[in-house]
Amino acid sequence: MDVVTTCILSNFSLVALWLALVLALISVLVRGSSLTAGDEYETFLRYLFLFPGAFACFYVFLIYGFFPGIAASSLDWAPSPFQWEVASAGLAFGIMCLLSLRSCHGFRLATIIGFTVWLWTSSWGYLMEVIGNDGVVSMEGGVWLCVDFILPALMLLFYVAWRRTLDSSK
Amino acid sequence: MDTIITYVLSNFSVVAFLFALILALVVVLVRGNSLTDGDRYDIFLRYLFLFPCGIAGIYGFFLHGFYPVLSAESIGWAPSPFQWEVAVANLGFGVVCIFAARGGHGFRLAGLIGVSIWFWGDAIGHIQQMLENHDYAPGNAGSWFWTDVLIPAFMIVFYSLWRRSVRPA
Repeated sequence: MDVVTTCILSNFSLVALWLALVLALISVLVRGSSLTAGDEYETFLRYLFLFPGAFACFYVFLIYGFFPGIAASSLDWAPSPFQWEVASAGLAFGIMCLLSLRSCHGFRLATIIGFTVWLWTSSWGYLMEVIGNDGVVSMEGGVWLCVDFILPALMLLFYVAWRRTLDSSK
Repeated sequence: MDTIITYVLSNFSVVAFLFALILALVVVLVRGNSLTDGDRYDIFLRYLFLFPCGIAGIYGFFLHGFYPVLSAESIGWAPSPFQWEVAVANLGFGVVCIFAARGGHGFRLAGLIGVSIWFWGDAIGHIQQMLENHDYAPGNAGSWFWTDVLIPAFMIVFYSLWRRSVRPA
């Protein structure tokens, strides 16, 4: 049980991403023909905002803000007061993602733009470090790196698809 | 001249904050009677999004991302790889705020909520450093701290006034 818990916590963003996609798919299949294409895209978008968006950001806030030693050691870095600033950013994006569940398109767009810039530039920096380290990457770091690339791409994809269906139905 | 440049760069957020307020005031005074109350609040909000949040966010990105030793020293902390994560958070919020300068109410509300939590969260961290480590370095307890506290408060006031004035009675 401890192994499973450690595995989930160490790969929280990946678990949250898979959970969002699976739950969104189940929700779309169960509700079936009562949904329009726009509703289906919005369902995926909402689950992405909730699990790998809000919950993963709150996780970052908690682990960086209140367990900085654990967070730093998982990256092989020394603890630093700068972790509190990263925790604050995590909390801010987490609340933006949570509010995006029921918000208008402008609010959602702002959240996706901020989230995308944050995650993509963050992973780019980590990638440069990995390249400088002769391609050596920790398992946990690798998982976060992949999710940081994939999650904003999925959010952008579902947002554009959702907006297109809304625009075409007008 | 060097002293002025050093002062501006060391206190960029407060300079950007004052610049935004003065510029907005000048625009409002020049355009005078042609503006509604809503337009006036919108102008203040727009410049606050643009300068102390947007451009200062991009500045924070460059400072933490490419001059980590310099920025860490100004706060009184040791340089850390976590500064890259701080840098990219600055970039994320900076880009959102630049778009929010011309955005609709939903986009602006998202930017405002994000920036308020981020700035006030940072301020709490700086207070903690003052209390626990007696860190009163300019980057921790100086103008950057005060703008972290004041900018969201000003923006919330102007956003509320703007929304009230444009909402039909």
